[in-house]
Amino acid sequence: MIIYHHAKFLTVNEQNDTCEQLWIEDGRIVYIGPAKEIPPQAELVDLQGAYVTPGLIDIHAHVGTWAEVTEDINDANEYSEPFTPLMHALDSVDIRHFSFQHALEGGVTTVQTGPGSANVIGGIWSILKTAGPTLASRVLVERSGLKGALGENPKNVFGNQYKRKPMTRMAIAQLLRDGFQRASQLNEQQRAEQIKQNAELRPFIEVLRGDMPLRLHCHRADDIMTAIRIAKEFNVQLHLEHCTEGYLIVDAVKNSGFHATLGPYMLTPSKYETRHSTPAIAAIFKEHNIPFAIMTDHPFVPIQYLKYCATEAIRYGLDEDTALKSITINAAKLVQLDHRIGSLEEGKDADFVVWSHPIFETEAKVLQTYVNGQKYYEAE
Amino acid sequence: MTRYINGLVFNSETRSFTKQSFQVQGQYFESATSLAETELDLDGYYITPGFIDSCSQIGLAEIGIRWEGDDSYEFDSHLQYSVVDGIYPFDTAFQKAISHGVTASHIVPSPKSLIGAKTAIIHHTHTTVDEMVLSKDVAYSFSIGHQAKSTFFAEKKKPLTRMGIAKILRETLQQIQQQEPSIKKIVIRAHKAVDLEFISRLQQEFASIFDFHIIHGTEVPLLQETSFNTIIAGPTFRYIEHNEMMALSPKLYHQLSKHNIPFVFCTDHPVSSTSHLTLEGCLAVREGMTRQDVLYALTTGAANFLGIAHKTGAICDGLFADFVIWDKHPLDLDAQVVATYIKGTKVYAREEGFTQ
Repeated sequence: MIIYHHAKFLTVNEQNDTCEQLWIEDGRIVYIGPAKEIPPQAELVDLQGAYVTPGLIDIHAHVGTWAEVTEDINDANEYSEPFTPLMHALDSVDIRHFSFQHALEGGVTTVQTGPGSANVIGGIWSILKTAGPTLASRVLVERSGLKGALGENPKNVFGNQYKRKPMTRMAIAQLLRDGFQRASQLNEQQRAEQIKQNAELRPFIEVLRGDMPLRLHCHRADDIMTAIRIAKEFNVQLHLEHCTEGYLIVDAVKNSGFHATLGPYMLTPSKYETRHSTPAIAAIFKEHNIPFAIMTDHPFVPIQYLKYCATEAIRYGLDEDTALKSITINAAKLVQLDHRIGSLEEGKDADFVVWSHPIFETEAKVLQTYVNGQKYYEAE
Repeated sequence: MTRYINGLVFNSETRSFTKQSFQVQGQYFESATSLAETELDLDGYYITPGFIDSCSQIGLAEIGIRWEGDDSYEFDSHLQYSVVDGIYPFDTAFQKAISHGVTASHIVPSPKSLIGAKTAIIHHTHTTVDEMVLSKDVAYSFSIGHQAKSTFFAEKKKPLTRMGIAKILRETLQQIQQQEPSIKKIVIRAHKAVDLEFISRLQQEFASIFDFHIIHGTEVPLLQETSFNTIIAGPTFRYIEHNEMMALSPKLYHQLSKHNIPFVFCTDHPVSSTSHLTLEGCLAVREGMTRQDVLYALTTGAANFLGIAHKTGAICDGLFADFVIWDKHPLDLDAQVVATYIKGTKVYAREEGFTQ
């Protein structure tokens, strides 16, 4: 048992205030609240007046897969085909890649990572802790969604560069429908067979059964609507990735009932479909009660700057409370992990960050980052 | 004549905010000679000189499209190339810049060009580039190391080594000396320590002829040497694109301050965004710089380095009235610009909305 005290705890749940002690045992939070008597065998750690938040969560980041630096080691996009449903994040992730270290330096303890957006169907995403001795020890969710992409990226990679299908948004939609149509036509026995053999239609069957959502990269308003249309046709759960022009069609997004991960609006619009990108989208979604998380899309915005993606949303009108939740508890809710991560509460994983100042102050530095109760980062 | 009263105004000499009034007559700050026609009460607001981005490709590489608006890189090189001929005043990035308090930029071409072009400093508003130019033919730009090398590798042309690059650079410098004797400033993009050392050697070789300035300077902390001309440091809020940037970190700013190496800030827009110039400053504060020194480097420090301190960069009589009104300290992460003025004219106001 280790007890942390003498700090200001920001629990990010509904009862935030009077916490004076954080008790950790076996990687879990066993108590957080007002000071109480210390058991004799407990170790006491004085945090010297620092500020503690839950570990930050980025549910759209290519940490460990998009290796940066050189294209030879970039394992995020299987460019050989526009339709690659069997690609799996876990087969790409390099746990020794520096992006995990950068995540810890920025107070990020959980990421959802996997294939990029070159392909119409890119593959399966996974949710990982950013520290732990083996890949297996870091996995929170092995199959957290089927990633696909609409719009400019597949058009550019395949139509424009490779001179092959898909060249148009029409073909992109057709390729996407194709997987669901073929999966829908299978009988129970054929489905079982597909899953057993990890065959091409397995991810589509899982999405149709509701085991995991479809996660579609969409920036432009028409692509967002195509994503929603296809999801409704097959009655599957959709998560909107980026949703850049979502604020232009905010009622349609709200009426769809689907949720979004917003960003990377910190980036200069580098292509036509992102030219209307603005950090104001977060405040607009909040105003319309559309649930959202905020992403870095690492490496495009480096993972250690997740906090700054939230502060930019504040600068553009989002309240601080929602901004913090969008990189902690709300992100956890959107991936159904709020029973384990996203806030400092009894029974949850002991993922927390010690800051020098309140998290959103300019001077705030990460001093220490803990994952499952272990200290994995300490500032020099 | 407009008088702005009661605001907390950044004083470049004391590097602090003091409650004071200032006046604008036409395009300039001017001391009170006559009665002001209008008076604006800025009680509770912070006022700074307009921020200056010391290295940017704004207008040269248009945002929101790809090659069609990118005029930052040419396949060959020519001493006549000037960024002024490539700047598009309707790049939507200008609106982004002024809505974040950035009123002027030093325009430097892409890192892909070993030999770049003549740089220029421009204001962020106007309908023609000629009206925007604050100063032309400011410096010649170069880019060495990985970026230049990989351009040549792709073309299968010389030079393929740092030796080849050094030879071309020296020859070009001699040509500049003969053909463009008025240009004394040389700005060179470089990340790696070995390239920074090469720039120091060039400074010794051409001591009386040119002043060499490093752009980026990622590995400066690895060097023993601490005598540099002003460095255009950063940006640090960006993607690690190649192996020369592995050491990229805002800690750079702390190291430069600690060793008293003079430096200014940049975004190299669109590499980082012009709207993140203050963010670079905020990261420097996080790493231990004082807010005062950061604000100075973003305004008067940048103007001094760029040789335009007689035109802008401070709230001083006789200078262009380039200033920004903020709702809180400009280096608070959520500070918003209330209004931005360039040459005495309001070019942005928050009421019109923080959208595109």
